[in-house]
Amino acid sequence: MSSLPANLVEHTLWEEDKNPIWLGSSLLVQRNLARYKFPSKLSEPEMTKISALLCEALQKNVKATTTLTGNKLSLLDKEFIYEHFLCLESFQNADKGQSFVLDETGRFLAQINIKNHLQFQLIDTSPDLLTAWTQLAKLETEIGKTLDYAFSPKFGYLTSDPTLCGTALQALLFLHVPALHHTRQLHEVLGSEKEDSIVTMGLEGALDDLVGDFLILKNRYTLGVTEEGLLHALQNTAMKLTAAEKALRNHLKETGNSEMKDLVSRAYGLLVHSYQLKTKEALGALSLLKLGLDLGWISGITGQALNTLFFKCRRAHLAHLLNEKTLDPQDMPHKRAEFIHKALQGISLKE
Amino acid sequence: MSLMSDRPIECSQCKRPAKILYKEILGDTINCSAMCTECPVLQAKLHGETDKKTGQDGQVCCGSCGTSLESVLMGQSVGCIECYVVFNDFLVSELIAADAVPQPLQKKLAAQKSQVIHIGKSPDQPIDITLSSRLASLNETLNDALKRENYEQAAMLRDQIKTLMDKQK
Repeated sequence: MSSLPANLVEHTLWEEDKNPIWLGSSLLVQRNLARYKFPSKLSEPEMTKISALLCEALQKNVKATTTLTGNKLSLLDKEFIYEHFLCLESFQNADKGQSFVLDETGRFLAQINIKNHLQFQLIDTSPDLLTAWTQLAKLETEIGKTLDYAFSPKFGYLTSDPTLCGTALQALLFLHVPALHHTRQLHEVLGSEKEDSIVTMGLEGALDDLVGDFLILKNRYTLGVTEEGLLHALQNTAMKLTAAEKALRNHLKETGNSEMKDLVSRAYGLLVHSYQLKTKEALGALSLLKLGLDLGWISGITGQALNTLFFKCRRAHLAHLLNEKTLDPQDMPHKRAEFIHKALQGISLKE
Repeated sequence: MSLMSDRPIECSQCKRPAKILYKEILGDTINCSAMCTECPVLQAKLHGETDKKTGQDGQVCCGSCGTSLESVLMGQSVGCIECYVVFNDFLVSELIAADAVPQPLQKKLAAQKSQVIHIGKSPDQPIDITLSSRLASLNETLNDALKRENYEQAAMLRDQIKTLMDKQK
């Protein structure tokens, strides 16, 4: 039985997202409490005490919270949270004294005592990073009124990893760029449009293997920059890349590029007829299908339904949907293929 | 591990990007590990455990949490706010080496390690992003896009400005 709130399991981040390129963003803010050593130096009772303190503060300031402690969450539930919130680092070893606080919308997550005492995270689909930041900063400020954050005028907010101190704000932006990727223009566009203060990567890290054609933009610096400055740089670069992807899609649509049509058709075949599908294969094919839909080559499904599938075909989401208690790696590819077949019923490829 | 847990290859000892494949042959066993060029473990393997710099610096510890400079050198986390005071100079050098601060600031810091680095918000300074400041910022980007004749981007910016203006009404 999963301990996760039903709302979290039923709804994915991108299901209402109508933007075909800018899919969403994730803002992460790290904070430590000035009075205590950082989590790696704490004993279990100390961690439990701090966790209780922070959970109480969060419950006062966040609507309808669900608090889950590390030792009571199954590995599958932890992986589900990790997938849902597009986390960069796993927390499978989270135990007693380490907690997760979620809100009713499924957009907010606080991680307690994982690497820092507190990590606020907000995932958002609107193409406006500053609004999301204002929302998160308000909560951070409210909690800071009763609990003193570890702060130095020289290094800013102090984090267990010194390279993340300063603003201690990491912003990740998820763009869907299949046209730039498959026409091999991505590196060229990044070369001309990306600012030095921004790091680009894929879901697996490397840019060369862009899983699902998702490009992640992330701020390189947390120190020596302002929160607004780093968000503005990210937003600016994202807009330029979105414009480039959009222009290329328009061109592909007008010219009816046969190479791209072939890629989309093959992806359709793979998703509709495979007996087994690995996550990476599924994400890659779903990406091309989504591009095909945007270009008018695919019908019978919405972009939002395909967005949902990006999440639901991943291991923990799929296991939850199928009410699986464990993750058998041998069974998953077949179950994934079956699930996708059902989800794609009614879809057709235009000649 | 699930899909997104795979990160770029990092040094097996520190967190820096791995650039060297270190192969160690011990009898019938061959151990391969990816390491960064600056890794103290690699330096110790290549030049012996009694590397002077590591040996001397390794004695420095934080009096509050017991974190040693050697462990920080290995890329491990710092343990408390006092660590930032005790390892101040070293952390500044590490931040420069790791390219964790913008380039113009790196030069200033290299010359003067006591330089204040943080310019973001502070606990006593509540965040206040007004609609008008956001509109000003978007208008600036719009002008830039128009100058570069990037009409796709300009159209998107206009949409955003319109949405914000509607909010303001």
